[in-house]
Formats: sequence, C-alpha cells, structure tokens
Amino acid sequence: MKPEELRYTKDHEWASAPVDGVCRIGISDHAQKELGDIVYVEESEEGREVEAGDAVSTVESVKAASDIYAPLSGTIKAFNAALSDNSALVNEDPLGEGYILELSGVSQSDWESLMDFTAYQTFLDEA
Amino acid sequence: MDAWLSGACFSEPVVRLYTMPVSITLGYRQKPEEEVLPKACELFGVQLSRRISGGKALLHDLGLTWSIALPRKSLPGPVKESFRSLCEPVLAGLQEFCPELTLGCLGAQNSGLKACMLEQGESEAFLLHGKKVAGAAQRRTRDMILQHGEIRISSGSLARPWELFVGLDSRDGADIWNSRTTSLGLSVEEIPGIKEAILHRIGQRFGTLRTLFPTAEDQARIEEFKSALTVSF
Repeated sequence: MKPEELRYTKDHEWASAPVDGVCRIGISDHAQKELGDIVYVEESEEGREVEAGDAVSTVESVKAASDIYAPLSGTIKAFNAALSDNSALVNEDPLGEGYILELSGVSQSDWESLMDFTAYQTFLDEA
Repeated sequence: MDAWLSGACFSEPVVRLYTMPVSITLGYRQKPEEEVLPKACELFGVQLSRRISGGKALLHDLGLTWSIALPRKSLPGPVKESFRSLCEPVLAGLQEFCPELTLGCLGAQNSGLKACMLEQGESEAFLLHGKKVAGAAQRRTRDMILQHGEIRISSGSLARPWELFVGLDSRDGADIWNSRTTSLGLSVEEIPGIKEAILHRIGQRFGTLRTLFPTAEDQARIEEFKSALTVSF
C-alpha cells in the first residue's frame, strides 16, 4: 500500500481505509526502523473486541519486546498468519505484506480522524 | 514488579536493584519445555518465571538484578541506542569494581545452542575477557521503556548450572558454559557497594530517581502479574 493511502497514530501504527468496515493495521516504516530486526510477532486473539489504544499484539526485536496498539476500535478479524513463519516481513514491507492484523467493524469517521500521511510526516519531524 | 512498572507512567526514572532467588526467567514468548529441563530444575530447586521482556532463558544465581523504567520521551530513537544508553551507567558503576568490563557482542560458537543466554547474538552484553557476565532486555509500552538485566557477581551456588538448559545437558555442556560465561569474581558482600555505585551513575545520567511507594491498588496489580508470570511445566 502507498503511504499516502493510510492513516497514522502517534504510536506509529497505520490503518488502511476501511472497506465494508474492515481495515488492516500495522506499524509504520519509522517504527520498524526504530525497533530493528523483528524476530517474533505475538498472535492476536481473533474475535476480541478492542477500543482504540488497546494493546493488541507484541513484537519482539533484538533486545526489546514492544506493545502494538489498536489505532481504531473494532473486532480483531484475523491475525496476519504469514508473520508466524516470517516475522521479518514487518521490516521488509511494513505497509504491505508485513501488516499485523485485520480489524472489522471499523468506523469510516474514526479512520478519517487519524493523521493523514502529511500530518504524520509533520508529527515525525516535530518529534 | 517490573511488569507493573512498565505499564505505569512516571515522569522520573525508577531504578530497582535486588537479588532474585535461584531461578530461571524465560523471555516473554519462550516455551519452557524447549528451554529448560524440568527434572534438573526440580532437583536443584530452581524456580521458573517469565519476564515481560524478550530475549533468552536467564539463570539468576546470587547475582544482582537491575531494572530501570523511564518515560519513552526520555530516550527517543532506535531500540539499540536506548539499550546502550541504559546499559552505560550500569557499566560505569560496575567498572568501579571491575575496570576490564566492557559492552560487546558474545562471539560465535558451534554448539547449535538456541535457547539460553549464551547464544551468540548481534545484541550487546556485558563482557569480561570475551565472556558474558550480564545481559539485559527491554519492554516498551506507549509511555515507558523498562530495561532489566542480571549481573553475575560471583560464581553462584549451583555446581553444574549448564545441566538446567536444553542443549547444554550434553558432555560438552560444561565446556560451552565455562567458555562463554563468567562472573565479576566479587563477593556477594560487595553488592551494597555495587548498588550504590550503579545508582550514582544512573542518577548522573538521568537525573533525580523516583522512590516507589506502590498503593494498595498497585500491590493488587503486582500480585496479578506475579501470578500470570509464574511458569510451570
């Protein structure tokens, strides 16, 4: 996915535009670079209802385990099973095949309230 | 306590220096049966628990355990940089007692060892003459970074610690263990002085340290974490 098509949070997660209430979420390129080589992504509990900001997974990189937060409220539809075999996908393609999970029941207006790419870039510059 | 600390939100750094009972802590995702040998643990009276940080199985045996929790905004930037920043004051404190101690990467070995703390890694550890004396790992939440580790002060109480670990319970387990790990060679009686030196260096680097007074509610939460992080086969 193109970075311009996604919305972002201050926790450096992204969410794709919801289609029938379903979106993908992952971590930004900035986040994966900060973490370094990712060696494990904890499987999320499918079917769990989450609020925006809830911890939904943990990624382990060399020397650190870091929480991943839901950028939006919804229900965890599916964890990205490809990460179970190849967690390096998060480093290699953080905005594409390295997504973390799919959320269902996502509100379009909630998604639109997140930072767009330009705002996220400004946020990174200011940080 | 560290699990609670990492989920808390403090404006100043919190430091803990303590001695664990003889035990093994597993990384947050490690499977006990793949890392340690239950019969050996039972025989030696070694307890198992789980850390909230990543990394490999770690033996605590009369060492000094340290943990630092501080706001993420105090250490923005890559994990590796923050890891080193948090190790450096601990190293400086330890170097007052052992000047030859360094931060570096444990070299390669050919045992195929995957699970325990002696595996070669690109990550840094405290080394004395090329052998590992201490390691550390981080947990990062939205607000906090917690880094903790274990320093081997003396040779420990266990005569054959390698027999606790999968992959080291072989005839060359002792050789692998002794070629890759050592201790500071100090007496446990020096621990109070070491604590003081480390606290001083951390204070110099990060400023005023916070004194912890967990509330009754916090204590209840700590007990919940204790229960959740206990490991049994």
